[in-house]
Amino acid sequence: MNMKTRTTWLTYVVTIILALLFIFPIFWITLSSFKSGSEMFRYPPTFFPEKFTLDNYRIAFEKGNFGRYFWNSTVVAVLSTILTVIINTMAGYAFAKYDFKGSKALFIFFISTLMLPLEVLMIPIFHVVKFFGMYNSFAGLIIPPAATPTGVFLLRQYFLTVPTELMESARVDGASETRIFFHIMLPIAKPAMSVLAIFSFMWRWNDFMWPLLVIRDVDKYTVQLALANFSGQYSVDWNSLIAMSVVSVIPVLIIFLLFQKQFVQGMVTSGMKD
Amino acid sequence: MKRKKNRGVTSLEMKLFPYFLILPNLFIFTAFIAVPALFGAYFSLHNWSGINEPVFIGLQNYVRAFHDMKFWRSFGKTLIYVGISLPFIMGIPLFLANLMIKEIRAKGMFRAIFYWPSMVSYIIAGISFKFMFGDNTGIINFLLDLFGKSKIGWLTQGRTAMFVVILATIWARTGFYMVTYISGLQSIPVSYYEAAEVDGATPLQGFFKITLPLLKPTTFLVLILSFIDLFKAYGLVLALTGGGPGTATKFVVQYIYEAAFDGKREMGYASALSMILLVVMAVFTLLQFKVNKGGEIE
Amino acid sequence: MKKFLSLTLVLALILAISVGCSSSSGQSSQQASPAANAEASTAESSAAETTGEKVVLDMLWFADGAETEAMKHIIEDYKAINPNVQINLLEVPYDEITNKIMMSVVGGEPPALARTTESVLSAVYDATLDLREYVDDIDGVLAQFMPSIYNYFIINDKVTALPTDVTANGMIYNKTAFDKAGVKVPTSPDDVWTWDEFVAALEKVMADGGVQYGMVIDNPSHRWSSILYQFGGKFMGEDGPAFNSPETLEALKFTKELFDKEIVPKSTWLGGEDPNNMFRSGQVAVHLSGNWMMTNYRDNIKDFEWGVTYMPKQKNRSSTPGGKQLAAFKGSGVEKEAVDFILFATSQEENAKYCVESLFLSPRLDNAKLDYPFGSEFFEIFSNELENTVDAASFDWGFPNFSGVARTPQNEGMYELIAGNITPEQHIANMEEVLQELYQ
Repeated sequence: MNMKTRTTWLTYVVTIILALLFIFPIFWITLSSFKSGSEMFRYPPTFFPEKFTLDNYRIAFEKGNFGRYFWNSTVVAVLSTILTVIINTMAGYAFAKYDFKGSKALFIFFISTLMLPLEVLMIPIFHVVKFFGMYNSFAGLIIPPAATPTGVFLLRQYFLTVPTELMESARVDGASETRIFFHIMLPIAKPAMSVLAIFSFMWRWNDFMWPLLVIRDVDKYTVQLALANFSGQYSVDWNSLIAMSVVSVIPVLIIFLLFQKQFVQGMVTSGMKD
Repeated sequence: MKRKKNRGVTSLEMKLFPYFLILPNLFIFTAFIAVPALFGAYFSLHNWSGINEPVFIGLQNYVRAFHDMKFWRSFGKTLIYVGISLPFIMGIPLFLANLMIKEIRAKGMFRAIFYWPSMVSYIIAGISFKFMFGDNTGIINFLLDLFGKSKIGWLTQGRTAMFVVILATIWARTGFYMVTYISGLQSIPVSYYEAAEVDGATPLQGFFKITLPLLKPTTFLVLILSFIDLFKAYGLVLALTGGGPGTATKFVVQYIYEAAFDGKREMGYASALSMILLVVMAVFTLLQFKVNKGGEIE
Repeated sequence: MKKFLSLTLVLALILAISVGCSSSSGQSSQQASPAANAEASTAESSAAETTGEKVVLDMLWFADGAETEAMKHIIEDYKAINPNVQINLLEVPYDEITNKIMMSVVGGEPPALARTTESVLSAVYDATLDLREYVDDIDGVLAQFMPSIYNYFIINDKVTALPTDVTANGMIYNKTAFDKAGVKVPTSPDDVWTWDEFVAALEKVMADGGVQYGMVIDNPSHRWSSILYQFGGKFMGEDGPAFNSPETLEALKFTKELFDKEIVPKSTWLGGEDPNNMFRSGQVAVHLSGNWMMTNYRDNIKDFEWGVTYMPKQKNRSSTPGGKQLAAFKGSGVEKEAVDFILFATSQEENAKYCVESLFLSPRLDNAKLDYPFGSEFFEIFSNELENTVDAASFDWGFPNFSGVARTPQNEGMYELIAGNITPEQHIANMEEVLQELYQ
């Protein structure tokens, strides 16, 4: 047991050191958000705010209807995430568990949509968005980005680890394909679906390109669109940008904390031990 | 564990079901990406500023791209960046993921800490790293100065700037891949480890004999995703160095965007460069698929 | 597998054709005439026009500071007179505004109005209205603005926009540091420093004023160009590039020396360190920037006193003018109303209020002297810099596509020069080649 305690000890030390390294920049920027405009870029730098102030937050919130933007982002991110999880799980399952004609080519096609620098294609994408009547509507922020190659890929790789025997024995019992998917596979895929939910919420919340492309009216702005406006032609309004960025991470963090419990316990209960 | 073909029982339902499953994604990808990409391919054969009428010029944009040394130099820099970053981006998250599934206290908090940088926007990641590595405003140089060492021009020299960019990349992306790995690790049945422990295997042996082979689908996923992700690196680099000093950290996507949106706004040329980029990445990905058999467990 | 591939392609093709139709109709009508394009997209609003019902004007907007509020006040004033007109201020980041305008125009959703700079205009001027066609006394209107900035919005004789403010490059200094070192800055245009005197002054402030560096310069293109003009150089000539001159060479060598002597920190141009933040940190004696920094420094510098002084001269005195305009777009269906608003927003009274509130310089000749609530003495200096600016400055920056084409090569060439990778002569040769393209 001595060996085991020593390993545990080592694990803690390593984890804590790495965690400190990772959190330091975040900690620093968060502390900076409570510094006055004159202290923020002072040299030599101060670590803790000399005079703690909430001015940056107050001013940033006055610079736009942020309550509205947070609501918009939440609606878009939640709905899009639900859609993403549903359709990507479907596709990932199909690619992992069925040998259908064209499956390889289609999968490569899906992945290859990741490889294009989309900003160069913004004008044609704009046309398509308008064609489907999604211009200046939340539908344009929810539906097109909901199909994510990463999500399909993630679920496919996950389903690859699920034994095909499970499907076959269900078929022998006379279960339909739909039933197998909904009643056997979906519960097993819960951990991967939780991971995708975490990712998808973050992608949609932090997305800038789609809102820029789709949205015209200010009352439909998302948080990221509003945040970007703190960068002017000559200078960046760091005071407001840093403060508002600190706030805007919170919803993503909450989603992470809510769902991370899901993805770690999944396998234990799924009857995967064979 | 290998996927088997169903023997005999090929009902119509079984044939059509997978198509039904992929239909929503297929539709969106086709409409919102493939169709615009076809337009991109079409524009790549034209002289087009985005606002004027496209003028057909055949393959001239591709010929020009072939001779564009600046483009290939940025391509080369991208390869160096990808080549150095990739092992770290694959390795560090794997290491952390293994720590994070152990029985330690406050796991949730530690996971959140490692994931946190992935949630931060690039412009904030950029300013955070400038707070640390800025030549005259950064804390690292401040500390060096304090202890009587000479300052280092972190972001004013090509090599050190590349180093900082890679460091920032690792910092910003580790959390994402760590979470991906954790989900993969969870699918390895605990009974395997228990059996190995009974057989007297050390944890390290367990890692190489059980974890790595069974984690292959996830490792493959991380390999492909991080490769594409790194190859397309743009936002973070722009916020941190702007591609500088000079052009030392100007990677290929930034070069393409500058062709499209700066200067003479050569959308046609930028489209051609995008197509080249697509082909290069697609070839690499296909090769990986062949070599790794789609990341299936053997 | 083959069958399926072809199926996908067919599907894609059907989509492509349908989308292609809608897009090509949008494009062709737009180049044919603005009216044709207006037909479909704005049937409602043109109907509104005739009945005097509500008209909506979308204005794409970007901002650095207080000007958004100031523009909202203009809109309120306008609404008081024209209750049926609603103006939506749609804020986008400056880096994306050209993109957003292009996308909207090509996609058949042109905005009624947009705030522009000369570089935005040079990318989208095909899509703007020619104000000559909409304003009867356009020459009378133009005569109200500084002739020196006509180049920025009159492109190929087309009046693409009207100016709302003008900017001047200038010198902001750390007063506390100068006082500490006992160095007095020039207080009248009659005794401005030469560059050599200025460098000597900076060296003294660096030695005794408690600052680490003498000066930061925003960027190697627009801001640095003031130094170029002061040395007697310029980028563009009437018939070809004019960058290759002994004056340019001298300016380049002088600039490199400033960096080599560490009067200017390399980290600003090479290492992406923000000159604005460096000046704020109190480590630098002087910031070569412009009048737009006034609100930022007023709000964010509390640790030391600062002020504005005259830029040094060599052969000439010169600043580099810049500015913003309001442009209206073809095919919005509300062209008349948009033009009417531009005229209102740039009128003497409204423009004066706008500039005073935003701390901007007015491009109107009759608003040359404004009563600012902060730093009036600073604005006098900036105005004086503009009055003493060589013609080459606005000729260069107003040259069609100049800022788009020249900026990146100029920036990168200067980085290479400062890093010692190329000689000044090589940079001149490279730039001549780049600039040559603008004459085709």
